[in-house]
Amino acid sequence: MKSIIKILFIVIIFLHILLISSCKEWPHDPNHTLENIKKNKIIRVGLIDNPPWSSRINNQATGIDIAIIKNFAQYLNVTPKWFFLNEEKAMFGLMNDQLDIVIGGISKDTLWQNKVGLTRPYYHEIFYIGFPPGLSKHTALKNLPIAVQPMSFLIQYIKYHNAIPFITNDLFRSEHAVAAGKTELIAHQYYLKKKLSDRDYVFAIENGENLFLTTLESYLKQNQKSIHARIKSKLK
Amino acid sequence: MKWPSSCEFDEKQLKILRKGIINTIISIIYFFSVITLMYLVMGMSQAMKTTWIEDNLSLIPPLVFLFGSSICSKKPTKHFPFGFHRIVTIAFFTAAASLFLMGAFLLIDGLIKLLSFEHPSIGLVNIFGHDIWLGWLMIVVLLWGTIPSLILGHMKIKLAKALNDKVLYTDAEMNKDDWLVGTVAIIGVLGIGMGWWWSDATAASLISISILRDGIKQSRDAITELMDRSPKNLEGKYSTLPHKIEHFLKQKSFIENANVRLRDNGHLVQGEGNIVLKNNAHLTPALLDDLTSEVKKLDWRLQDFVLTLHEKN
Repeated sequence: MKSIIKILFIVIIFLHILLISSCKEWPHDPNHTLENIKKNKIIRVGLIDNPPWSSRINNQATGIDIAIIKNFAQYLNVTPKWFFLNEEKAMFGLMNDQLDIVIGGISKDTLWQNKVGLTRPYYHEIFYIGFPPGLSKHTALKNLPIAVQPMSFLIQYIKYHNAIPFITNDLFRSEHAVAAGKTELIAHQYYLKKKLSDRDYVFAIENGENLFLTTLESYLKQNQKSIHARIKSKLK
Repeated sequence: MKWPSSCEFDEKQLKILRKGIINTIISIIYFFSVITLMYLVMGMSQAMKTTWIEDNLSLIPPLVFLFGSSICSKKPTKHFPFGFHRIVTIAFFTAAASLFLMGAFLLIDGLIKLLSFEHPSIGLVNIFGHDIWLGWLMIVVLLWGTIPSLILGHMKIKLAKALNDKVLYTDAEMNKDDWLVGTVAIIGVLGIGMGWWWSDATAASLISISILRDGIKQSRDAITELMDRSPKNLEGKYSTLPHKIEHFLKQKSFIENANVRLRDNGHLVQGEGNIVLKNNAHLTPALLDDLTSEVKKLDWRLQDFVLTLHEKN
């Protein structure tokens, strides 16, 4: 019995190898995402409002992620069709094959990670509490007001260090210490006092569309340098 | 008056035991390497997750064997006059129960993934500056988890038979069955590449059925052994030893009738025999001792055997 199973398995693997060697593209998309994008000449992009990654200004889509996807669409020779949505709607759009990709500063640890497919991180940012040039490097964090953007995930880390979050949209005008990304703090010549957290940025696609996933991932890798330069200049 | 010795192995077997211990330590190191590599490349694949848990569970029998072989040479004490042989069976039962529970959990998990139409995403990974599909790496790791395991399993089976060690035998059998788990997982991963999303969860469910089956078989074995059933050999068949002893006793000219009951006790067999003498026959304590020694010589595992004399009625 066991030897029959063994032979059966060897035959199955052999047939697999035959099938694979006859394939032009590997791996495949179960729902033919890439094929449909190329056929319809349109890539359907869900946008989550999250500046500076993606936002809607005067009914125009602008942001770091949007610039990347515009170039990716050009590379595929297709046109992007933008859909401004909240996160939940955008993710359901992906899950129901209504969208091809969702963007907007999505982190690798998103709560949707088991429901949608995520690319490899295309950018890594470390978040610090930065001190302005006028503030002594030895100042203790306890009870110190720290400027931070409204609704930022950094607020919990500021509280953890017993500092006081000072919510503002204009971080660098407050003259307080600032909780923000390393790139931004260095551009403003702030001293990096305390590391708070880090974040890997990714794009979300429909789960299991592995040909589309690997195509996007290899595009991001090939253009890594220009993408990083663009992100850094935008974040400054 | 002396109780039977606690050291159950002769010199030759002790050598084999040492080999078994070395082999087991190599297995543990090897499985650690498989577990680490598999964790690194697991991704979203359910088949890989299930194989990874199966490999983690594969660590239990070798650990139980190492634990058991250090305990079984312990001498009986005042409060544990029969020695510590049975602790191995208890440890084995615990391991079997965990195998059963884990198998059941993974089967349900796999079926839920299958029924909820979950499509696994497997992207690219960078190896020495080159982008390759993570699925290929998974297959390489699965092969590393299969082929050496098969060789180790074949080596352990011989040692287990010489020592009559059930834990080592089970360990060897599980290692030998790893090829099945590995092949199913490889087919699952190749299926994802082909765009057959269901192949991953199907492979995972098949692997968990194999874990569950091992769990049921081993739990049943351990429970019935703890219930003092008649001894079985490693292949799971009832031993012919009780018949052999009865036959041996009945052949003696002074014995009219004899019956024997035995039970497994770790590596050893423990038991007692009742004999009824023929009319006019006499048996001195010295002769009874000699007779017991002769019975013990029938099998090396029979180191704790008692004969009692009964009246004819």
